[in-house]
Amino acid sequence: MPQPASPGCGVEPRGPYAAVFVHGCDRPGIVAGIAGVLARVGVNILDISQTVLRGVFSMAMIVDLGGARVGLEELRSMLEEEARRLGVEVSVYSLDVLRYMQRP
Amino acid sequence: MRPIYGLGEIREVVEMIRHRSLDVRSVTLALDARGCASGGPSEAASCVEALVEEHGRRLREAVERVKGELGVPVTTVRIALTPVEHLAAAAPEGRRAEAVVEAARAADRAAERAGVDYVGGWGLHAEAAVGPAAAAVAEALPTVLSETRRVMGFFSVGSTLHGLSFDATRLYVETLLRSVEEASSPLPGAKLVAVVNPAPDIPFLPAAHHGPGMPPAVLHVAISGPGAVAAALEGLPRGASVEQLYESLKRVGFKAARLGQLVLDRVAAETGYAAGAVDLSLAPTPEPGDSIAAVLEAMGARFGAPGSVAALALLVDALKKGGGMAVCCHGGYSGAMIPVMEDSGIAKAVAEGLATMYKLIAMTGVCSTGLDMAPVPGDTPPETLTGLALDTLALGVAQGKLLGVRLVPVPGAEPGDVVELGGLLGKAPVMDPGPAAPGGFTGRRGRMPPPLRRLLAS
Repeated sequence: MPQPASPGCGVEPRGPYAAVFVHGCDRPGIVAGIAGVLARVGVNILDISQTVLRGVFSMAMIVDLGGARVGLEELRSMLEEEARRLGVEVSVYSLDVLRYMQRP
Repeated sequence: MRPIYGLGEIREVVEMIRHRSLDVRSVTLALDARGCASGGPSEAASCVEALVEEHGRRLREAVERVKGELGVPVTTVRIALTPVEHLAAAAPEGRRAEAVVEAARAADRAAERAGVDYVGGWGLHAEAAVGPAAAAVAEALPTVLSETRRVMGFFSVGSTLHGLSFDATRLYVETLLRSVEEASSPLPGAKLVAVVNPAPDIPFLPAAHHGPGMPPAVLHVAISGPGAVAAALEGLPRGASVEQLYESLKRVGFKAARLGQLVLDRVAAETGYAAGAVDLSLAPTPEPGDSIAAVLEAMGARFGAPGSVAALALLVDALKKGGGMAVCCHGGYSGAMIPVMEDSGIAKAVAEGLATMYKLIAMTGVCSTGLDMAPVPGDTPPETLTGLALDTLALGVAQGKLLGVRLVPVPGAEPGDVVELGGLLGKAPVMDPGPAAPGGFTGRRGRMPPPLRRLLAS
């Protein structure tokens, strides 16, 4: 689970949390496009890891929907629309799915 | 900041759910319907209708919310009621079958309105003898199964405590054949099962019902993930040992079962219903690759070829070990489903002559589920169908294990003709039922007494 913020620093993680996974052919603007959608609706990125292997782009994010103006379902459809524009695939799951399956 | 979850861990979950068809096959709400038994058949039917509609709506809404919040697919929503024998027993003599039919029509209507995919409980217990209420349910079932779309039934024909009833097994076959005749379609075969040792917490239909001693409203979950299991094995190095296979199966079995537990916990929290069991069974779908046969292939075996019973035994035991740790309470069948029509890989093995009737029955000795969705010619003699059912169910009684038989007689079909029921029910070539059984044995009245195992256990 995310750690509490240091005094006077950052936004306190509140949850609910989600995992965002993006996968597809690499091109400029994928991180910006996805992060832009998140920023527009007030979703905070807590963790991000990204690789490109033989031209295939993969990115996983843990995000906090605590201050978001949309719920997980609406966020998913917005990200799917952006992913279509970018020609990549996006999957969005509640962090509980990761917690149950990977860190019981 | 250290990553909370690694890219690989997140990728694995996405791969299992999105690309390899890991999902929740069913959220099943088992409801105590005994309160509906008072009054005449019409009052009972109205009571059942109200019960299914009220709880069905609550369940459907909660499942939709949970699906959206988690991002996890849930394929069907089901309700399982107390076996309708109690309605038949409470109805005036001469109107018992009518009470069962009326209640089924009412449940069917209510389920459709509430968005419930199937309703179970049109079943009977006749492990040692067919009582008058059970006989009335059997009399009503051909009408129930041919007239309704969502109602399903079961015959409990034996157990390790009771033995195995020949009378009840024959009655299952007679009822099945009458139902197919009345519907002029093989479809009723998919909606009726004969079982032994029925668990009180089965999420899979047609056997699901509200079992004795359970909370009045309790949720059970079924998972579906052969594709994800096959994928986990594909990642193993060539020449991996049996122990390595087993370890991979345990790990993926654990993860699949955890997803079932998560959905169970969330739907229980949303609805206030008790959280019951997760059935650890791997349930295939007709989707290519989401197949038990594909799992066996990933293990290096071939469904129906020599080695495949051992492969299935290894698979089922590993999944039980992994899955058993992952859930609060395992329930239902908790094995590997081998439904001929619903598994495209098994259907292919039938077409290739690899999966024959008695190979499937041999597999029921280790798969913990039964002879399932096996299409046979509609003119197969009842003695032969009874013999196939008895052979399978005797294994369940002898092993102290829940096993089922779901035969699908196809009117006018010959072995090799392809029958298709659509959707999750899939398609397969009609199987050769094998040599005709002499009626002398299967036609005997009575039951096989409980096996020695019962003495050893108590």
